[in-house]
Amino acid sequence: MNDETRIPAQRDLPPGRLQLRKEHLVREVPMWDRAAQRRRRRLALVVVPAVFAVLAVTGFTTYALTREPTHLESVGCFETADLDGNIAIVNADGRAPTAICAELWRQGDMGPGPAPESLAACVLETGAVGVFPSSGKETCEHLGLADLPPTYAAEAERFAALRDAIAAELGASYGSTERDPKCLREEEARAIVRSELAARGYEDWSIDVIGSGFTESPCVAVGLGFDGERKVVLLVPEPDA
Amino acid sequence: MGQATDGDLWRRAVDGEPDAFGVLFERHARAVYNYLFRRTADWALAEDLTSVVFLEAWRRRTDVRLQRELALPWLLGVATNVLRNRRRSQRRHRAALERLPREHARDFAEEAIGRLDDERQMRIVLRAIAKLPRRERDVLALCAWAELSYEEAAVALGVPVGTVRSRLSRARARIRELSPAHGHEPDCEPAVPAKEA
Repeated sequence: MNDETRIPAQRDLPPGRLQLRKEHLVREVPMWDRAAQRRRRRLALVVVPAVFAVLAVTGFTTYALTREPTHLESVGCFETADLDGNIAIVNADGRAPTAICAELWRQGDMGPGPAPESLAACVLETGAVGVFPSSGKETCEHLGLADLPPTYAAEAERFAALRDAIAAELGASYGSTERDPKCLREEEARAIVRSELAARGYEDWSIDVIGSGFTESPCVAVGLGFDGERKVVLLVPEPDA
Repeated sequence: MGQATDGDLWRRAVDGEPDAFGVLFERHARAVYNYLFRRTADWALAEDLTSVVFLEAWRRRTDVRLQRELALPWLLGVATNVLRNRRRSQRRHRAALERLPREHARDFAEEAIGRLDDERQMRIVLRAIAKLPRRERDVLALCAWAELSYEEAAVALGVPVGTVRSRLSRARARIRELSPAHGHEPDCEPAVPAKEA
């Protein structure tokens, strides 16, 4: 290091900026914690014991060999070939349910054990799709469930397109896709969803608002959920997002 | 609160006290700001990245136990990571930065010219050491420019003290090769004083 490569002397932040940035930091960090809590809550919904899961079918013993799936928004990945076992409930994304669950196994999200050699996708009593470790062709039948029908793939793809379109229009983060939230009034959000439902042949679906967030601010960020059983799109206003 | 140690303030921040974290910011922002300037040769960028470093430090505050109750080494480690993954860090905290009031700094002409000179000068320095491997540049910046001790630099980089010594030694040798007319050799501060702004 010589004169040419001398290091400039230290300086303070420009006048007023230290205080401004300190105030900004103190204001921002609680928001970060709230957002992190929301992310953790979402994660907590993903992997739940069977007794709490919406897909739980404890006590179901009758055969349902021709059932059509009605829950296209999610897939339940079962840890064992047992209806009372633990389930990871994840968003469907248009891929084959076995591919979605195989990815969870590969990532180690299904627990520390080795990934099963094969998986079977079945239709649960609720109309949801369950994916089980499989030891042969008759896994669904052994569990008293129907195999996933071949028509599912096209329906799942169509539903995923609807979900992605609504999420993009609302600026809602969904699944692993993070989006910049938009600030919307309740009427605007409802109009967006109604329009997409109509355009894509889902006129029999309705819209519900969760909580009173729309009344807390002139416009708010909107979270999104789907209830395939009741055919309802759920809008979740998040005033502090 | 002004007399509290870094460790006290950090523990209160871990418990969710933003004001305690604000005191840590007041205490160490200048050192972080100057470290970032010396790595980027851009005062405005260094200022924004200072905010990013503290936002990132808050996000990771529960992952760390301060060594010798000093926050600065760890904060400079966060700053080093932020520089390494600058785009990702800025993207993660973009929304927060956009909420920062954009008040124009009231620089006097002399101050503004001085800052421009600094930036020109620092670009020359960074060009001179650009051929060093990144790990050696990190050690050089922490030891010679931010004046951390070997132990503190080791905390900042998450490596053993011996690794800091050997990297610095290699950096010194390379600088000697690259610039035989060097004035003094970069070194880590020998003592371990509490360096609080």
